[in-house]
Amino acid sequence: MEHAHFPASAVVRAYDSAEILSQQRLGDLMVHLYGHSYTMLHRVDLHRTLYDEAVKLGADIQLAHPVIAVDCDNATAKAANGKVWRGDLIVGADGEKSICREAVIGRPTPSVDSGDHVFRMVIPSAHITEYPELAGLLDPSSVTVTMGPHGHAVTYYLKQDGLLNVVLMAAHEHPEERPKPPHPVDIDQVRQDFAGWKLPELVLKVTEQCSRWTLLDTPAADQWIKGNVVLVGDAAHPMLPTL
Amino acid sequence: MALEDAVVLSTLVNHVSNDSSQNAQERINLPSALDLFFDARVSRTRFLREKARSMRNIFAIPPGPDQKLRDQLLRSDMDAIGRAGVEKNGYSAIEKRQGFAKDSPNFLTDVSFRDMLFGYDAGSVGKDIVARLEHREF
Repeated sequence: MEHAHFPASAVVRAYDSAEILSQQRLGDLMVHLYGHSYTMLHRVDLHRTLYDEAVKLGADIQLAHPVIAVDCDNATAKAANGKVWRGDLIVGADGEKSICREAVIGRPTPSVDSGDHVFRMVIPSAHITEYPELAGLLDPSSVTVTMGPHGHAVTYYLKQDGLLNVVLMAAHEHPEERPKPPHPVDIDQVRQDFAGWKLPELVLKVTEQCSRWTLLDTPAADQWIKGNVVLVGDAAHPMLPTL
Repeated sequence: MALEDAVVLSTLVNHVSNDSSQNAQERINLPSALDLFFDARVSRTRFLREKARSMRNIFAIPPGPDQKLRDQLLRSDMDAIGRAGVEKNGYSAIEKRQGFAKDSPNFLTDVSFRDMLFGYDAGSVGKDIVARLEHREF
């Protein structure tokens, strides 16, 4: 948890004026109400924490063995290299693109284009201090959502790493038959997409790198269990990242 | 949600008997444990999946009457918190009051939603199911 970030507040800004519409205190209020802090943690740090604990508890973790098939009745899982595991229970925690979900439901559950593009940038905080107008709109202790036409922006500092994390979301018109994974995009195009968005415009001026991907809409499973296979997490109930 | 799933599932699976000498009345078989896991988790996860979608839509409202209403709701909830007194512990009574800021576009201000989201104790949920099994409530 030494890598965790505990925002003091959750801020909502209007897109054009950057007016603060809402500033909900987090910090000690969350501890007071729920016994724990509202916590932001990088995925990598969460994985590492889970990995270390699993190893301590005796888990045998075999990386680079993508599972390509599960047999629900025999509770076996087969890896791409032909290796087979058999157990009493298979927990399908294989995420949004779960192959266990297909095995449990008995048919493919392809993701489709949700209609949104997601853009991500990471900017060194040291760089931002050179731009006072931008720095003034970025409170280091908040997570900020900017709500705007057909999209939104989320900005927050990852203090430990000295980075400003920026995620933008924008609707696009033509549904993509093959939703695109993360790829670099032309920053001038992004600047056009977010023209008139006060805070995002300032952020986009101070960086040249941006990655974009198509947000997927993935069906939930109405059945999570078949034989000795059970789905958990995104395999069972994928959701949009807007919560 | 995956972490909550893990806690509830592992609590129930730990209660599965694989030793015939254990008291059969207190232990369950694996299929029952899995069914109980599904029953315990399906409504909450469905609800939150829908909530995430509706937040996406609320964030993206284009300029117009709905957008003005949304923005005004946010401002007025903040005004209400600002005008309410603070209790001795330094917290505003209103920002903890059941029903305050219901369906707020800032879901962290919506007290009942926040309580539902963060007040959930996956460990207790699992243990309660086990306790009810031990009292033969299933």
